[in-house]
Amino acid sequence: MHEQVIYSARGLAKEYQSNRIVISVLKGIDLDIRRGEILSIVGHSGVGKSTLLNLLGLLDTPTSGTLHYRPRNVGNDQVDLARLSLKARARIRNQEFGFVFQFYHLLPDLSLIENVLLPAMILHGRAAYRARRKELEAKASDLLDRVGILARRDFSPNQLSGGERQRAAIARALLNDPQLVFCDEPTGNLDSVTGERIHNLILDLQKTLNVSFVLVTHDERLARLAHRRLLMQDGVFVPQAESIRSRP
Amino acid sequence: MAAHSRSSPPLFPYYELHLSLKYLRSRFSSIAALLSVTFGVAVIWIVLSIMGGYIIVLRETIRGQESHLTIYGSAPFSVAHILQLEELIRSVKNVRGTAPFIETLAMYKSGQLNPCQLRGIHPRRELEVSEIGRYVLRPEELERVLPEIEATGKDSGDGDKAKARSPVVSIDSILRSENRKPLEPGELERFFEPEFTAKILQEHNPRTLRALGNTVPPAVIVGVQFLIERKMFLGQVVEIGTVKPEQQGPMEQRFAHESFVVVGAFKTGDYDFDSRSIFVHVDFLKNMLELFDARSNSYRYEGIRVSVDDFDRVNDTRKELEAILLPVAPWLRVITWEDLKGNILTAVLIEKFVIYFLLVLLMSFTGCMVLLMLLLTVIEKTRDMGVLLALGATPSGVVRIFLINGLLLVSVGTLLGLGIGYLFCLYINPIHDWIHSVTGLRLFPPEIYHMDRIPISFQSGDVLLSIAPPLFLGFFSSLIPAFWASRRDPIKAIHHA
Repeated sequence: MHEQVIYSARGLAKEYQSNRIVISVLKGIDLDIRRGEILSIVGHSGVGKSTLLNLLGLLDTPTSGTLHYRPRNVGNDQVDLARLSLKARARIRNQEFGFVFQFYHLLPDLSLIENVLLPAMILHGRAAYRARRKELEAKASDLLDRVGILARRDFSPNQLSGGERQRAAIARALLNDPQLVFCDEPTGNLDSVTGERIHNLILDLQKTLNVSFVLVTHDERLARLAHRRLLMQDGVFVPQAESIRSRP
Repeated sequence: MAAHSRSSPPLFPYYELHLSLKYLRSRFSSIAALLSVTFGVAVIWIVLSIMGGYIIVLRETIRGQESHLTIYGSAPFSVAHILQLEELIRSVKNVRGTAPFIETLAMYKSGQLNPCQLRGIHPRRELEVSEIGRYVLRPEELERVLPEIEATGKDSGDGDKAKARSPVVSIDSILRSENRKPLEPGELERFFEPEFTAKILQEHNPRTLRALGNTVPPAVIVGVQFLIERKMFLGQVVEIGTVKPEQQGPMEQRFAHESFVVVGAFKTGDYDFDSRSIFVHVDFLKNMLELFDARSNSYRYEGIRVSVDDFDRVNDTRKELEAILLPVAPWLRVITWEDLKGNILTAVLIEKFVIYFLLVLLMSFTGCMVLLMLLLTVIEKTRDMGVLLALGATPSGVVRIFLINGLLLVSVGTLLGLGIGYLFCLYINPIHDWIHSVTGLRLFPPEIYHMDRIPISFQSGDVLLSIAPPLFLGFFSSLIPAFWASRRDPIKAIHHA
């Protein structure tokens, strides 16, 4: 079990206002994410799992609470993500985090390898990207190979099955060597056999790349593969529901 | 996997242009918007080039009729002491030549009485001050088009046939020929020699020559419309009458009339000028009008035409002429040709910019096309934008994707439009001829415009005028959807159906 906390949330709350009615979705969440762990967050629909993932992934801003993150290569210094500018948050999303969505969200105008290379295209300027193109393409090909769809590298996403698209999405999430990958229902749109393959792939990648995964899922089998499992109810974690187990 | 060093975001990330090009190539609406820009630019470029060419030809035509500078008196026929004045004028730097002239309204009798403008010129010196040498047909040139002119007159009852065989095209092709040199001073002078008049009479009107005996009337060169419209014919003896100025007594005693022989024709391209003007030797006209002034012991003229070497300095030369002439003859006025005919050029120039303004208004339709195309793209690519924002793109990066998209579209469309417009202008006359041969329709009738070819002039200023509206409209049409895209909530965008 890895003990170094790389990301911690304290008192994280999110409220939405609709027609003068305030809806409190998250009610003071405290959470630590450790380096190299797989953390699953489970719960019924509407309990605030995806909202929490969006806040952790800096896609949304909390109503209150703090988010402290320890980037790689900066020693023990922590960064308060809530105080960062729009650009700095975008930079953290690009270089420190990876995202896997339920519906894959590959860009249909790009080939599979271009989709995987998209985080690098965002990271690099034109000159730098061209200079490193071969290296980056080799890395993208390696990731596609790891997820088992290298033969499809020049295909359009529309020519692939759901499982293949999700594998490509996972490869895309890993291209910029993130510390954390946020997965929002990664098997929610797949059949059980394909879902099982995705489970194994996440486990394999966590082992070999030492990347932390935060999985928001309804899938109990996927949740059970995690090192820790948190149950959410009405915008808070249910304390006794947290289960800690050794690395599978 | 080794962690790479974290870096600050680049100024122009690779994905912006890459995605812009992908979006541009994958959508049919992009091609429609591109074509709209292309044709918009091409139309503006073609229209401005034609209008520019027309202005140049018009300017040349007017310059052919008028000298660079003209010196008038305060009243008609009030410029006396012509030799001394000319000497003074020629002493001014930049003055190339001078020629005295007389102009008067007159009536000519050819079947019935008709008005005309009798222009007394000095044939040798007139060539130094005007472009008349370019417009007077040499005798052999006139002989070549004469059969066509005569045939046109005979067919005048059948409009279509007459137009189809119009001599205007032939005359213009002779006068505008690249190899044609303007008349030499001796050539123009020869028209007014009695021997030449007798020769013309011998060839075209021998019976009258026999009736006249040894004395032949003075010669006149008439506008070509007199011949085309069958008001006169070559070799015709025509009676022209006018009123002598400053004569006391009843009108019938002031009337002066003479017989003249039509010995040549000219064509400036200005219908009004070509259908009303008759050139006669100034020495004959001044005697006919009895312009000898006993008090000054010299002839009085209408004025003096002046040409200059450097036309760009014409206003400086005018000031110098005024400085040297007005102390000795304060009643004189020095006028440039643009003072005389500038209004026509200004009117055409204003027309050019009115048409340009209307075309720019039409061009706003193109701006709407770009706007709609980009709005459609933004709606269609909303989820892509959400994904890009989630992967670390900034809102400004999303703005640039659509800005680049719009600017690429209008830039490529503008370049294509300039190219197509240029090619169309190069081949506009063959295209016009082809339309005429297939449909019988003349879109640019020479009878109306007095040009056998559609004039074209490529000017750098017109390029700027052609590309400015699409670039401006394209840029602002791109801004709205671009900012709209960047302000979309990434979470909602990701879940956009």
